[in-house]
Amino acid sequence: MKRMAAYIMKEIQKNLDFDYLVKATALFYAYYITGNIGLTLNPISGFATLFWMPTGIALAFLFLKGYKFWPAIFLGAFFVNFTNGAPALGSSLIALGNSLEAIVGVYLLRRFNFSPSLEKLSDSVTLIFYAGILSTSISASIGTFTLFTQGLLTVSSSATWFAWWIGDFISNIIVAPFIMSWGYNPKVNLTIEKISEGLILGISVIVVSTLTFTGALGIFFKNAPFVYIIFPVLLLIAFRFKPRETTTAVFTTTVIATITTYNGFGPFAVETDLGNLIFLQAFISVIGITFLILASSQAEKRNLEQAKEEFLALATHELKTPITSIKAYTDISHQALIKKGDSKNAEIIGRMKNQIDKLSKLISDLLDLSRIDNQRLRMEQSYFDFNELVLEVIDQMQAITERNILETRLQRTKTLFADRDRLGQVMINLIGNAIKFSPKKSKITITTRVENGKILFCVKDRGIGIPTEELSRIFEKTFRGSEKETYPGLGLGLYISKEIIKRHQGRIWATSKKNDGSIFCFSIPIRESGV
Amino acid sequence: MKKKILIFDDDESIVDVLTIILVEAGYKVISATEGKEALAITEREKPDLILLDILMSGMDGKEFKQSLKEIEGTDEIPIIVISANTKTKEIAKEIGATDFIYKPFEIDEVLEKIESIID
Repeated sequence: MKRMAAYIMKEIQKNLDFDYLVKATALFYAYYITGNIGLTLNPISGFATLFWMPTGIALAFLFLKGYKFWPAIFLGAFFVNFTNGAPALGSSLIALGNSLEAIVGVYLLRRFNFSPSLEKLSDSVTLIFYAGILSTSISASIGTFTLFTQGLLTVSSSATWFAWWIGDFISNIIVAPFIMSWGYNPKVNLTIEKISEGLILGISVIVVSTLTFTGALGIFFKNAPFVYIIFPVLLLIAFRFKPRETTTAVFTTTVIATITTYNGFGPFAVETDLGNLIFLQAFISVIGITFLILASSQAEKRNLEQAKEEFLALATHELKTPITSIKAYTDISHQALIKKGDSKNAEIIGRMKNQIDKLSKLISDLLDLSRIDNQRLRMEQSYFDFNELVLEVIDQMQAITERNILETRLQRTKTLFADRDRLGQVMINLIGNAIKFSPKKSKITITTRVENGKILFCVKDRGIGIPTEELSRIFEKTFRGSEKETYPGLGLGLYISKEIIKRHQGRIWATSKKNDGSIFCFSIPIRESGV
Repeated sequence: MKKKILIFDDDESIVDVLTIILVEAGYKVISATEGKEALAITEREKPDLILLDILMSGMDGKEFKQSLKEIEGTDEIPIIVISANTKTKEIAKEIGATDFIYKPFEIDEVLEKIESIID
């Protein structure tokens, strides 16, 4: 005993500085206070509590701040037990078990590369298995052995062991991840949408947990076991937020459920040899494991998708540099050949230019796609004449196609405040599609109109048309239709167009019958100033 | 007298192809693919116009423009930013460039913009 006390004093003195003392004192009190709360919850054999928060606090603290804080755990555990009637030797042994539990838990987590962000499935599995199941059996075993040798057991030693273990287990899979994930990354995304979503879901957790575990829903049906109502709420949080928010919600549910059940309310309040919390804790364990795993695998999936999108953005940007020089070299040769009067070779190089332009458009489309996916598609608005843009685009399109005649029916339109280049891009996509899917020499009609404060732009072709069942899907990403073997392209044009029009608060649609041509239109509200 | 244009881009093929285009159009072309070299040439040659890339390894376009302020008589040289970056327009405005061109570019577009500035 004395040697042990001396050793602990030495350990404390070794690290003695102000910062250490403040943190160690905080840990000591957190341990002592939550421990005392735990011991009020009908402990088995006097000391095996079914919800022992200190274990999770200790694990999280040592993991985030270092092993050197273990004496605070030892002292916290010692005084909790000692002041609640355990003999000095027994309290020391139990405190030793509690300290070892945290130290071994942290060692195992570090050994298996655990990250407290919990943003990988392996993080959750590591936490559940090594800290949840393994390290806690140290404390349960030493504790039960102590109570046995001190003659304090009131139920069988196996029942005491189980109660001790599940109390610590729940703490390490519910309290510890809650503290660790916030301690590791406390930054919050402060957009109004995210805050209101978080508030709504947070309130839902509290309301649903309270209604469920107070048995308030029992006013409709006696003994109503409505505990599963919490699942969709927790599920939504796991899908929409990071693991730390999910662990917060699970922790909140656990606290509410434990308090109400302990006081004899709700569907789990059934008296057993192990008190009235044991059925609840089995349920809480399942919730804890399920949502820890779900939250981490969701986070892992989201992070992978984001990495993929960032790579796509970088790759397309890098591709643009060689395309730029290839295009320019080709243009130079083209002009030189024309100057020399070598029309045969000039035509060949001309075809090459067309292919390079196609390639460069594909790359731009991919870049746009990655920007839409990252919500980074930007609109740069200015005032411009809508019909002037239409005529410019038609000139440009007519220059590259001799297949079709582009005819126009333009009504006088107003000056528009919008992204000129982006709307031009939509027009190019719609007219380009019309050309692609029309028979040679057929007419393509482009109309503009102003009605009800909106500008309307339509392209009518006399092409193959679109089967009715596909009409609703053509604006989806990568949808290419049943005739995709015959027509080239990635199928991104309409999807990108839809996004651009959407950003202008407009609408884009198509009407068509198979083999009877199609009409593609978009309309956008005319506005005086910014979107 | 022939007007002098500096091309500063870390991609040699872009420098090469722009050189061909501008020499053909009757300009005197000097070029650099690296920041210190570009600053030294600017100080020595005092070009009439600079074609400047933005995203470059080593010294990038923004830093280059910043450094010009410390070299006498170079801060007023008009700059055309020429980049594949999607924010080219904003960056051009931010560093006080006269104009901007997106990569991939059309030869005519490059020549027209240059002419409108220095002829």
